[in-house]
Amino acid sequence: MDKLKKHIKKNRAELDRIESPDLSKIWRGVRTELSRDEKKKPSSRVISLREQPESSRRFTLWAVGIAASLALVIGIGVGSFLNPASTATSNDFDLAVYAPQIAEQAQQFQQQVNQKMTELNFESIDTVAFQQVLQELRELDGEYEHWAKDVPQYVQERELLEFLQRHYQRKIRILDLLAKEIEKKEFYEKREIRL
Amino acid sequence: MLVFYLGIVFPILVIGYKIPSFSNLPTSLGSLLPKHPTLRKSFYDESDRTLVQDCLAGDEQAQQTLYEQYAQAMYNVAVRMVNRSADAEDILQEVFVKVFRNLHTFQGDSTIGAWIKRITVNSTLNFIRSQKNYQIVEVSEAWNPPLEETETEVSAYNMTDIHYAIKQLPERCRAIVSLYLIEGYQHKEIAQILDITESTSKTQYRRGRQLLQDLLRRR
Repeated sequence: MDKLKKHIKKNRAELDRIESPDLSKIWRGVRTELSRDEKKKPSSRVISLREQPESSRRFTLWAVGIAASLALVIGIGVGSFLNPASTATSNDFDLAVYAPQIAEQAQQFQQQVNQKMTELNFESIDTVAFQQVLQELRELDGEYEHWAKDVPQYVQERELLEFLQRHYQRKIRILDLLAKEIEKKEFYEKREIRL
Repeated sequence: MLVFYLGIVFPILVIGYKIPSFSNLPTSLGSLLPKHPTLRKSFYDESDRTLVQDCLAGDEQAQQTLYEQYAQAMYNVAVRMVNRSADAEDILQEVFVKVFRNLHTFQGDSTIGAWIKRITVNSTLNFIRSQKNYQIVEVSEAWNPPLEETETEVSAYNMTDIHYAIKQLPERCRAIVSLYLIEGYQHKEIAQILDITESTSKTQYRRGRQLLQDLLRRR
């Protein structure tokens, strides 16, 4: 480990006490914000179980328990009948089936990635010289595979889209970086030849 | 058996978690239920545990105690990354509003301090990203600056000098140096939260680290 990092780790607590802001002024701000929340809360009437007599409370709890049991059993039954995809694994995950509109966008992203890879002549890249960047690409793909396993649990299309956008943007950025690195390497190689 | 468990026992346990008074039921189930559902895991410190429970119950005094316990440390975390006290104060206020609004989601999987620090780091980075001119340039270089510090030299650096030297670093690498060197984040995590590549994080760190060394030597 870096000597400085070790030194800081040993004295970490000191770093938390160097500057002292006006804590009471900030606290007043926090309280003001929180009290605004309290004012906004709707005054809905919820019957608290604590307010009920013991016998009635016991009965209510059991009634709620049984009702919840029935709802759960029915819910599981209906859910598994209506949504056989919920048991899908990553192996049978298909974005085109799961969210066709998003799949179209993902395809466009993928086309951009493919184009970059063709421009870079990706198959013949020096894997030793660019080991670090290639490793990052592999990790990104690994993250995608890991994510795909959880996709059937996602309900929001927005989340799917956001993830895919982030994934492909990062991939394109890494490929751009790789292009710069290749260019730099070629430049230095040419210069060496000239010398 | 499975149907019995899913249909009867599981919902009862779930309800038991949500209603503490359910543990008073005259059945053997009552004794099996945890005392406080949301703080059932590895809670290391009993006083913090009680404090969080009091805050959740709406005790204003407890909220202020929790704030006083962590506010200064969190302020220092933020100010090292943004360098302006007024901004760090705004961030700190926002952090604690978030803390109290979301305390019910705290599961007790980490310490309360670690949870608050994560909120602080995220809020600070959101603030930094929201600044108009902020941009971390994507760079990657096989450049290793020679960090020739000796053990004696490093141990002579005091924490105050380190704190102010970090604040003097250029914006593009200040947050990265602070997160990696002080807060113990890995480059992979930094890359994810700052939405940059890991190579950029490493390169910006090396540059910042070199500058930091120069600044500390001049002090």
